[in-house]
Amino acid sequence: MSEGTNMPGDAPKARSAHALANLARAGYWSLRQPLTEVDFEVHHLVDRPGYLVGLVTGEGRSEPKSRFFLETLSSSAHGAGLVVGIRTGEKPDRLRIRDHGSSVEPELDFGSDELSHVFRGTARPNLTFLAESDRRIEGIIAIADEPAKLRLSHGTQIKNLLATLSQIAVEVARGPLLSIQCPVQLPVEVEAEYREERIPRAASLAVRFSIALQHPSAELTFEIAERIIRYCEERGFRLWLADTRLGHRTGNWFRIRAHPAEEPHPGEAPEGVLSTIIPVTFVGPARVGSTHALVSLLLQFPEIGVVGASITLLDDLAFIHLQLGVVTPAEEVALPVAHSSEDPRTAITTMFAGFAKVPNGKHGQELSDHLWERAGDYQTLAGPVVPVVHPAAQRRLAIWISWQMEWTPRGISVAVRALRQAFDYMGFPLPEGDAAGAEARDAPNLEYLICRDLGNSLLRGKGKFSVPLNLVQQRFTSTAVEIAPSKLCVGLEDAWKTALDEDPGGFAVREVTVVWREFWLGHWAATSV
Amino acid sequence: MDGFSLLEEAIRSMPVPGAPPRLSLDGAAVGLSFLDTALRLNHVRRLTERISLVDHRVARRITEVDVRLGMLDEGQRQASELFRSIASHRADGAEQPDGPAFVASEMWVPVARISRTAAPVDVRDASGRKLPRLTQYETSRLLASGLYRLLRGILTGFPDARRDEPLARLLYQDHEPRWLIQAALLALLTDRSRPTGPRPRDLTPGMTAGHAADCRRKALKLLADYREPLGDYFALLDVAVNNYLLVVAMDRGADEHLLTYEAPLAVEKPRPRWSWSGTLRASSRGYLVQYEGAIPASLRSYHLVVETEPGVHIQKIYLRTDADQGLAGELVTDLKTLATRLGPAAAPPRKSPYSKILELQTQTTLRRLADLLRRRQWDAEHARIAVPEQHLPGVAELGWAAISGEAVADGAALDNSLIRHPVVEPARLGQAARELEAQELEYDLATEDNPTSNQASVYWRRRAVRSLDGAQIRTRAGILLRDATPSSPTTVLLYALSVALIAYSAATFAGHHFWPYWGAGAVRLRASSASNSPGALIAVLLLVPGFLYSRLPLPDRHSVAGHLRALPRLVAHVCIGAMALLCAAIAADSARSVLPVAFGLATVVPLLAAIALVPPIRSAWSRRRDPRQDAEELHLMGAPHWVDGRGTSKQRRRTPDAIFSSSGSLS
Repeated sequence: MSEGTNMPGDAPKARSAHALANLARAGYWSLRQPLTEVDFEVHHLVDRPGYLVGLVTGEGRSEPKSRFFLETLSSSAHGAGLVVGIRTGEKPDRLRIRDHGSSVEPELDFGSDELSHVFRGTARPNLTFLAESDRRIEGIIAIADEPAKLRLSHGTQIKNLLATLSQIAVEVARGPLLSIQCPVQLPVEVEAEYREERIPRAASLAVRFSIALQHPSAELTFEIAERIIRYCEERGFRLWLADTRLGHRTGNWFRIRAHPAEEPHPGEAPEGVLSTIIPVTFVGPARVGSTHALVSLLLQFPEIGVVGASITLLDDLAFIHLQLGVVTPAEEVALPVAHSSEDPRTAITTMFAGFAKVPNGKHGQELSDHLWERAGDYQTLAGPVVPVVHPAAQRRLAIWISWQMEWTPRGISVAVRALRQAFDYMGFPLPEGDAAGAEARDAPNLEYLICRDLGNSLLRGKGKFSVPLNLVQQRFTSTAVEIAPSKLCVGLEDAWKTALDEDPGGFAVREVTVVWREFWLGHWAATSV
Repeated sequence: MDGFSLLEEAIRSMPVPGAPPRLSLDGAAVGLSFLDTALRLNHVRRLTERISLVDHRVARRITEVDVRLGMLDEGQRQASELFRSIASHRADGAEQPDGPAFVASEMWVPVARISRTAAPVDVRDASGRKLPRLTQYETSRLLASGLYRLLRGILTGFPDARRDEPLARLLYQDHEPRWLIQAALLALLTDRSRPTGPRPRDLTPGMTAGHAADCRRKALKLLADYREPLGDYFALLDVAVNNYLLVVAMDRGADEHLLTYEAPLAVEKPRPRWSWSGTLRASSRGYLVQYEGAIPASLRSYHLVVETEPGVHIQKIYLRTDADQGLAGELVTDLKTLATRLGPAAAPPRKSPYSKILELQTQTTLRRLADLLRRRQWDAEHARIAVPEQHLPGVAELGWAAISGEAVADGAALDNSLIRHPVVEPARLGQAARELEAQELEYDLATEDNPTSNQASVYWRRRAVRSLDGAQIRTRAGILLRDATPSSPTTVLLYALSVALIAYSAATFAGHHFWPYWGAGAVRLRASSASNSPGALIAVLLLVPGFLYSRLPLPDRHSVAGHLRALPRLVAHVCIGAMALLCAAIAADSARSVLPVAFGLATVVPLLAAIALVPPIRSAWSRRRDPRQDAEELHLMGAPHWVDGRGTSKQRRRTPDAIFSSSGSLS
C-alpha cells in the first residue's frame, strides 16, 4: 500500500476544522473539473524581462490574446524562466477526454518555439494532502554569495543539498517539502557595531526551503536543525533559519551559522564551467517523499548538476522544477522528447540517454521501487535547452511586492498591468516584446512570483523584482532620513496604487506593498482572513 | 462510534448490491461544498447563544447567527447556484414562456452544524419569519454522493491505483466491493438511525465464505489497509454522520442576515442522592448551573447570554474555553525538552551553531510562555482578580526573562543570549512545565464584571492565530444564581416570628398568665366558658397564620427561584405544621399536660426555624467584595485552577445543581 501524508507510527492527531474544510473543498473543486483533475499550464522559456506581464495581459505578444492566470508560480534564474499556472481557463477538448482509459491522464498539449516550451495538461491532485500553513521549518543555506561563473561543482553541491533536505523532510520531519527555491536573496543583515542594515544582492547561490511539520515540537526542531547544521559544517555553507519567535514572520531570519572560519570542503573541487541549462518540471499529486525520490534519481547522473530549483505546491499538485546544468554547449545537447507521461525514471533515462550514468546494481532496484511508490505517476516536462547566463558583475537590488485580491475573471493581469505602469512611471520601464542587450540588462526583472488562493475568495500574491542598484542610486539620493531604495519603494507603491485606482477592475486588488526588506511585506494585510 | 467504525459496521450489515447505487455527480459537488462551508463558517460573523433558566434542571437555548453572504467565496456561491438549479430544474436567467427571465431570489447556505436531533429546528430571520430549510433527507443524499466521490478521488490519487494492486482492482475491476462501500455510505448518511456498536459475526459452523462474503472481506480489508492515509477522510465522514447541517434559503438581495433557531439542550442525569443540606443551603450558597458546550474552532466571536426570571439574579458568570490546549501541551513538552538540552551535560559550546539553534528555540518557547501568562493575567484582571504569581513562580520568572530584554555584561560587550540568563536553568524549566499542567493554564477565562440583574453575558473571541487543535473548542460556563429579593427570607422570618407570637399570645390569654407553659399559669381550656371556646381559638390559630402564609412570596417549587427559596419555604411549612399540631391538640381537648406542651412547641419551633433564616439573610445583605474571595468562589464554581492558585485538587470544586450540555451540537 502507499503512504499519504500520515506516516505510520505517528500518534493520531485531532484534525482541525480548517483542515477538514480544506479536504472537502479540494474534493469540491476536483468534482467541478471535467475529469476530476486539476489542469495546469507550464511555460519553460529563455528568460526575458516582461514575459509574464505579456502573457497575462496580452501586451507585446505575437499572440495578442491574454491567458488567464490566477494561482501562479513564476521564477527565473541563470537565463531560464518558468511560469506555472493552474486552472488557466479554457482548454482544448483533448484535455477533457480520457482516451487512454480511466487511469491514464489525457496526453499533454504541447507547443514550442525557439524560445519557449508550453505544456498544458491535467493531473490528479492528492486530495488528502493537507499542510497546515504555520507549522513548518524554513531556512536558507548559502552555497556561494555570487560566484563569477557557474560551475558543475556548484550544480553538484546544490543537487546533493536538495537530496539531503528532501531526505530530512521524509525521515526526520515526516512531512512534505512545501517549497524549495534557488537562487534566492540572502537575509538583510544588521551590522552589529553600527546597527546598520546591509542590503544583500537580489539573488545569491543559496537554497531556501520550507518543510511542513506534522507534529511540531522543540525536539523535532532540534533534530532537523542539527542534521542541517552538521551538513552545512561539513561543507562550509552558511545557514539561517526562519525566526520563529513571537512577533517575527516570514522574511525574518535567525543566523545559525555565519561565515565559515575554514575554507569550503576541498572535496567539491571546481570543475568545468556550465554552459547549458535544461529546465525540467515534474508534475504530479503532492506526496511526502516525491522530491527526494526524483532528486535521488538525478544523483545517478554525475555530469548533470542542479543550478536552480522552484518547488511548490499548488492546490494539492506538486510542481518540481529543476534547472539542470551541464557543461556541454547548448547546440550539442538534444533532448529526444520534451514531455512524457511515463514514470519519471523511464522519462529521464530516455531524455538523458547521452549522459553518463552511475551503475548502481541492487541499490538501483530499491531506488526504482522507491521512485515508483512516491512519484511513479508524475509527468515529466523538459526543454528547451537554454544557454547559461552567468551572474553579472552588476549588483541588483531586490524589490519585494505583495498584494491581495479577489477572484476575478481577469486573474492577476490587473495587478500585474498596474505594476508595470508603476515601474514605467518610476523610470524603470519593462520592455515590451523581446528585449536584448543593455535594455534587458537594465530593465526590472521578475525573479520570483507566487499567487495563491487563501480561501474566503482571497488570493495573496508575493514577488521579487530586481533592478540595478547603481541605477537606483543614480536616480534617488540617499539622505540621513531615507535611503535611495526606500525612496524607490515608496514611489513604486504610490504609483501602483494610482494605476490600480485608474483601472476599472482595480478595486479587486488591495493591500499592495512594495518594500526592499521581505519581512516588511503585507504590513497592511486585511484583517478579515 | 467514529466514522471508520460506522462505515465498517454498515458494510458488515448490507447485502452486496448488483448495480452501483444511484448517486448524483452534481449533488456530490454541492454536498462537499456544503460540508466545507459548514466546517469553515467563513460567512458567520458572530454566534450568540441565549440560555434562559427558569425551571430547575430545564433550560431553553436560542442560537443567533450573524451571517454575511458577501463573505462566501466564489466556489461556495457557485455550489449554491448549482444546488438551486438541480433542485428547481431552472437555471438563473432562463427564459420563461410568459414573462421576464427567471431570477431566483434565494440562496441556499449552510449556517450551522447541530448534533443529530429528532426535534424540528425552526430557523427564523430577524423579522421572525420562518425560513425554508433543507430537510435532512435532502442534505444527507448530497453528503452521501459527495463523500463517495471524495473517497474515490482520494483513492485514485494513490500510486497503487495505477499498478496491479488490490486498490487498482477495486477501483477498476472488482465492482461489487466498491458498490458495497457506496451502498454502505449511502445507508449510513441517509438512514434516520445509526448503528451504536460493532456486531461482527463469524461464519455459521460448517459454512464457508461465498462470493458475497468475499466481496465484503475485500471492501473491509481495503478500508483497513488504507485507514492511515484516509485518516482525514474518516474524520470528515465522522462530522458528516454525527451532525446535521442546517441549510437554509436566504434572500440573496441582502448581504447581512440575522438568523435565530432553537436547539435542544441535554441535561445531565440528576445526582443519585438528594441531599437535605444541599437544598437547604441553596438560599445562602446560590444555585450553580454549569453549561458544557462546544463552538466551531473557526468561529470568530461567541457570546453567551444567560437570562433568568425576575427575582433571580445572576451573581457570577464565567466562561472558560480550551482554545489554548494545543499551545499549552506543546509548551509543556518543549519546556521539558529544553530542560534536558540546557543541562550541563548536554549544553553545546558557546557561539557554535548548535548553541544558536538552542538559543532560537529557547527564545521561541519562552516568548510563547510569556504570552500565555500575559493573556491569563489580563483575563484575571478583567475578572477583577489577581493571578497569584506565588503559585506560578517558574512560569512568571521565565516569562520575565523572555520579554524583559536583560543582557549579560560580557566585559565591555553585552550578550543578549537568553540561555545565559541565570533564571533560565533546567530545574526552573521543569518547574514551569509542572505549573502549566497543575494550574490549568490552558484554559482561558471570560467573566462579566458585576452582573446585577437577571441577565448576564460573557464574550469570547478567537485569537488572530488560527486554532489547529481540532474541529471544535470546548467551552464551560458556570453561572451562580441567587435569590434577588433578600426581603423574601426576611418576610418569612417575620412570618415565623408572628406565628410564634400568635401562639404565645393565645396561650397567655387563655391561661391568664404571662408564662403559660408550666407551673401555676399553665394554660388550660375551660369548656364551659363562652369566652374561651376551643372553636374560636382554633379559628384564630389557623386563619391568621393561614392568611399570612398565602401572602408569602413563595414561588413554584420546581422553578429555580423555588429551589433558591427552599429554606424559607421549609420554615413556613414548619410554622404552619406547628400551628396545625396545636389546633389538633386543642380540638381533641387533650389532657391538661399535653396542651401547654403543644403551645410551647407552637411557639418555640417557629422561633428556632426563624433562627435558621438568619445566615441567608445576613449573606444577602452583606455581599463580599474581596477579590481573594471572588477568586475562591470562581474556582469553586469550576473556573480553572490558576484563578485561585491553591485548589489543584478537584474535590474542592462545588457540585453544580444543574449541568446542561450541548451534547456535541455545534461541534
